[in-house]
Formats: sequence, structure tokens, C-alpha cells
Amino acid sequence: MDDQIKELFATLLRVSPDCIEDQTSPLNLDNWDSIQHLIVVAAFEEEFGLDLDPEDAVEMYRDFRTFREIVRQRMASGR
Amino acid sequence: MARSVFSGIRSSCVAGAVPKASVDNLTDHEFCPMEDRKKIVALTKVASYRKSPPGLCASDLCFAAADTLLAGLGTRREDIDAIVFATITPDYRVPSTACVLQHRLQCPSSVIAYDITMGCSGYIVGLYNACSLLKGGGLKRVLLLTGDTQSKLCYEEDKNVVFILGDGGTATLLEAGDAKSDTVIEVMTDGGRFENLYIPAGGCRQPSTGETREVREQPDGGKRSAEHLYMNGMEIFKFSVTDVVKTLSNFMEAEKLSAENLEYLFLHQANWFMNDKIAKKLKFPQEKVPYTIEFYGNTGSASIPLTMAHQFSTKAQSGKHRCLLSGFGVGLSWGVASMVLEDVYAPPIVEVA
Repeated sequence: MDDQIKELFATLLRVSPDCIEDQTSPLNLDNWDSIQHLIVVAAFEEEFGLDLDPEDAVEMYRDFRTFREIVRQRMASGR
Repeated sequence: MARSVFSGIRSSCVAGAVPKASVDNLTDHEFCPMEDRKKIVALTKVASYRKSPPGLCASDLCFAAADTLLAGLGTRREDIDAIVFATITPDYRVPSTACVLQHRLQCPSSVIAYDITMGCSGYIVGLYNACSLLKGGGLKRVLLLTGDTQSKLCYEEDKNVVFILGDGGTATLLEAGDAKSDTVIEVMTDGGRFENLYIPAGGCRQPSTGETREVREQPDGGKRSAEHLYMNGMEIFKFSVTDVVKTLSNFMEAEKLSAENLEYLFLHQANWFMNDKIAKKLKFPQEKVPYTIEFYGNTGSASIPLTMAHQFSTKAQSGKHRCLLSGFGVGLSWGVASMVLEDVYAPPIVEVA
């Protein structure tokens, strides 16, 4: 599942999955800006059938580790 | 706390005007890859918006809206007691554009006329002012004008703003009377976060120079000068889905309002993704949340009344409509208003060349 999340995340931001680490954040990945972030969040909602809280979307902008963990939690809880 | 109850006010007459020229977010903005354009349009739902040519100002749009409204209602110009104009795109730095509009609208010199420098919360702050003039000042009729030509504030290749911000103007006539229902308005302010949505230079704090006018790549990936509008998109998103939602929730609880007993939630047309999140948090079904963002974009202080004018001019709706309104943006400033609109008069949206 982690690989699937990373793969989709990287594809949406048009970077190689190899560039994505837990510490990857909007501060060190040029393509990850606020508009792209919301596009990525919306794409994850559609791909995995999620309806993420707006607070989640805000928190997911911290770094990739946080992004992945929230997606994983929400998928586990079916939201 | 700036929450006030105003009784007996009728505010059911609203008109809107937009520039005739439009921008298509998919075919224009060639600086941005087509793939990105498609994704941004899918996210924001702003397929197109209206853009004013050089020389066409927010005041011209509001003038057209007011002229249409007053003519349609048969209201005499001499019966207007006040003109309140909410905008962040005035005609001049001095004087207040409301003064210029008093003359253009041929209202008598006995009116009080002034501008309010407010953007996306401008309609709510404007309503608060208009109601205060009617109840506190004992005036009979206030013409509330709200409009912006935000396209003039943006650098044409700043993707953070040019896909969303459009131009529009509106006019609302508020009258003191014997309306049975109350208008309740609450306004909030947090100037500690003003730098998330502002134009850094060109005012008195940092006057215009060759350097402030120079367009350059910015750390956030945008491209603009210090005299163009800057928006920290994520902070504004965070503000909208937390502070604004919290204020709306508290207001609804205090006023015993719910998605069930309200007919419409008129939100500032920020962008679809954000507004959809706000509406879902408040448990409003989609059919109760009108949108005009698909074809007008985010028109700043005009967006709420423009959406109301569109909603009521395209769908014949007599009778009473309990509505909740919320505007939020530059300042940071945000507000909520609840009111009952009755037998709404809303002529078709006017196009201005």
C-alpha cells in the first residue's frame, strides 16, 4: 500500500518515486505547491474513494510521511 | 463581539453586472501546461471568468448594476440616503469612489457616501454598515455597492491567482421598514495573518519603485512583482476550512439555524473544492449551495450578491427564503449574515463592454 501511495503521489507531481522520502515536503520539492497539493488530495479522494476532512488536507501539506499516514488511516477507517 | 441584530430591514433587491469579455481557463493561460490547466479547472471548477478591459473599473460595473436595479424598481435617485461601496479596486487612491458614484448615479448631495476597503468579506461588512446606517442613523434607503476588478491586481502568469480571480459588480438596495424577520450579522477580523493575501508594495508603507514593479520568480513558484496580489493558497485554505467554518457553526448554533431550516447557503465563491469542503462540514446538501464560480470565478466582494442575483434572476422564486451568507478573505476578515429574502427582485445580470 505504501508503494501505491508513493507511486500515485509522485505521478501526480510529475517526479520520480525515487525522489520521494518521508521528509519530502513543499519546502524541498518544487512541484509540491498549494494548488498542486489540492489537486493531489482530490485525486487521492477519487482514486481511493475517500472523503477527506479539510483539516486532513491541511495536515497532509506538512511532509510526505504525514501525507501517507493520513491516507493510510482514512483508508483503514473507510472514510 | 461584532454580532448584531437588525430588525425590520428589507434587503431583497439585488442586481449584478460583469464585463462582456471573458477568459477561458483551458484555452487561455498558455504559460501553463495544458495538463495543469485541466487539473486546476477540475479542482476549482472555474472554467471561465469575466475580465475587464483597461479603463473598465469596478465602479463601472456597480454603476451598471445600480442603474438597472433602481430603474427596474422605479426607485427615485433622490430617495437614496447613503451609498456604501465595498471594494479593493477603487478608481482612485483619493477620493472614495462612492463619492464619484453619487454624482454618476445622480443621487442628491444629501447622501452619505464612502468606500470600505474590503474584498471577499466586503458584502458582509457592507451589509453591517448599511444596516447600521438604517437602524442607528435612522436612514430610509441605503444603496450597497460591492464589486472588484481583481484581474487588474494579478500578474498574468501567476498560476496561484489567474485561474480563479474574475471581475464583477453588484448593487443591493436596503430599506428600513416593517419586515418581520431579523437580519443578524457577525464580522470577524485577524490582521495578524494579513500577509497571506495582500499586495506588498505600491501603498504608503512601501511606495512604488522600479524594483517593486519588477516581475520575478517567487519562492512559492508564482511569478509576479511586489505590486501584484500575493496569495498563500494553503494558509487561505486552512483559514477558510477552520476559522470560517467555526464561525459559521457557532453562528448557526446561536441562531438555531441548520441545513434543514435554511433554504440557501450563499458562500463567497472562493473555489469549488474549498467551498464544497465548507458546505460538507456544515452538512448542507449541494442543492442548497448555489454556485456561479463555473462562469464568473471568484469576484471578490461581488461574489455573494452576484450569485444571489444569478440564482433569483434565473429561477422565478416568490415567497420567503431564509438564507445564510458568508464572506471571507483579505484582512483576514470574515463574516456571516442570516436574513429572510422575500419576493426577491433580481433583474438579469448585465454585461458591460
